[in-house]
Amino acid sequence: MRTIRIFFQMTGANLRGLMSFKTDFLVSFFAGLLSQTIGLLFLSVLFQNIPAIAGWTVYEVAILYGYMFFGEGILTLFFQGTNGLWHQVRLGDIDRYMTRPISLELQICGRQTNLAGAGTALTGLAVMLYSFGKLQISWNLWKAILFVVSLILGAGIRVDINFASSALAMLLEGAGGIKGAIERVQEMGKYPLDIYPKVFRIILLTLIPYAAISYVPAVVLLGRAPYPYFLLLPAATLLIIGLRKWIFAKAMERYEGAGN
Amino acid sequence: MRRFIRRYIGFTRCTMEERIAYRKGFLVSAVLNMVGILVSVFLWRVLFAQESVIQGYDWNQMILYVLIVALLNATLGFDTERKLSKGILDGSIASDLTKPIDFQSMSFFQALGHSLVEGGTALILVVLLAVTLTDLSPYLNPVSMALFAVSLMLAFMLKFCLAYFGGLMCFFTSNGFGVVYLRQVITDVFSGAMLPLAFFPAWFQRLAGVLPFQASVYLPTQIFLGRIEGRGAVRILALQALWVVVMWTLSGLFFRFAVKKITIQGG
Repeated sequence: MRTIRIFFQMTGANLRGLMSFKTDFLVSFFAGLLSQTIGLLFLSVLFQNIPAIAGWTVYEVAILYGYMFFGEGILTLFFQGTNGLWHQVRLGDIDRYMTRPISLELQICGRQTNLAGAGTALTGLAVMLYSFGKLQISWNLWKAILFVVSLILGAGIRVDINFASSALAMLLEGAGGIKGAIERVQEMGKYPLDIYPKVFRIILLTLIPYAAISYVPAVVLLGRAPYPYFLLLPAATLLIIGLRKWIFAKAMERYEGAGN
Repeated sequence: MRRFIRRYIGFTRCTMEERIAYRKGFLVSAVLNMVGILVSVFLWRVLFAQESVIQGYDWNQMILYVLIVALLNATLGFDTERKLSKGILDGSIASDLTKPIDFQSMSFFQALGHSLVEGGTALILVVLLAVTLTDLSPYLNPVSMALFAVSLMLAFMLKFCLAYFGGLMCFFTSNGFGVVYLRQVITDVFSGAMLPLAFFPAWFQRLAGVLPFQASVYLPTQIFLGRIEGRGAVRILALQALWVVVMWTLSGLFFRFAVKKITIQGG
């Protein structure tokens, strides 16, 4: 409870800081709204030439896109601080955090807020709701609950993957590229899992669970798989949280400070 | 001319050495490119399992198209462009302006150094993937390879001009990222980097045909894939060269106008 309160205080302070530059504040929000234009254009032009991807129609694939955008948006909006941990090490920020009586993870998460994320998340929601409308999904209370839960857990997974890969780069001492590569893998979450070879499918559901963000809830909501399939999402969430904690602990164990 | 090149080639050597000094960066960009290409490959594999030809492209041609685009993007991509605008945004351009050199030429030779290293790494990866994934034999005749090489060089120069032109826009705004991003969207769509232009509606293809962007990505791919041969190919090279000259001149004029607007932020 205290953690959540402090997190919102930090985010609030960040937002007030951002708002002191009014134009920039608005520009970054609109940049966020437009940031997924290329992806959406690609999807719509592609589908003018093909009927389906592995049996998935354009609006079904758009739902996968929407889930990925939403997660990305929340990550950028509230948890951008999880980026560039090795950079913070070099600046000596981590030393400073360690002297404070609140958890290190919390301080890292609440370090930065970027309003562009709000635009991206809204785009994701809009794309999903529009596509659900076009597909004429029959909603019931269960599905509505699952939808909300999937948005929350999905965003959580996105943040944890980011945190974990950032910590991994810190553990490997500045191999920043590894984080970039893992981030790039998110492109795979935008298409039905069926198109990938088996090894990739397993990785996308466990170690780098981007498919758990988008594909798992989508197949259930679209009626392509029975309800119990949804359980893969919380399972992947627990796994990635564990993984993140473990990698971060390892990274802190090896941590020696900035040395100044 | 020789004196000109001798004076500027130092910038190329400098950026090359800088790139090579960070050796981890090599592997990183190779892995990054690899992930991006893989997604496309898996996607097209499924699509070509349903149909053997999509908009006149078969599996071989589509994968080669994707690889050539990846090569061009790796050679002169987002990074170079951001660097160009960074100089303007953080004010380090001020010290460059005091030097007795042409800013545009200096930027070009710097980008060249960066691109030789990045493009070299990407080339190895792209050739490896092309050999494993496609049947290259129909495309390997010396004439079209030579034409393609020239076309690639012209494409690189044009890509630089377009990025430079976009970078100059930063003189007028303090939001460099927005400008770079907007230009990225326009370039990606109109150059054919996103999808071959044949996938777009007819009106869009006509529009793209009169803009410079297609000459930086789409036209070289058409030469390599042998879709345009002989005289047509030579005409393409001429068109590319024309665009390079036009955009280089325009950028120069624009720079002279823009530099008067310069506001260096801070000391």
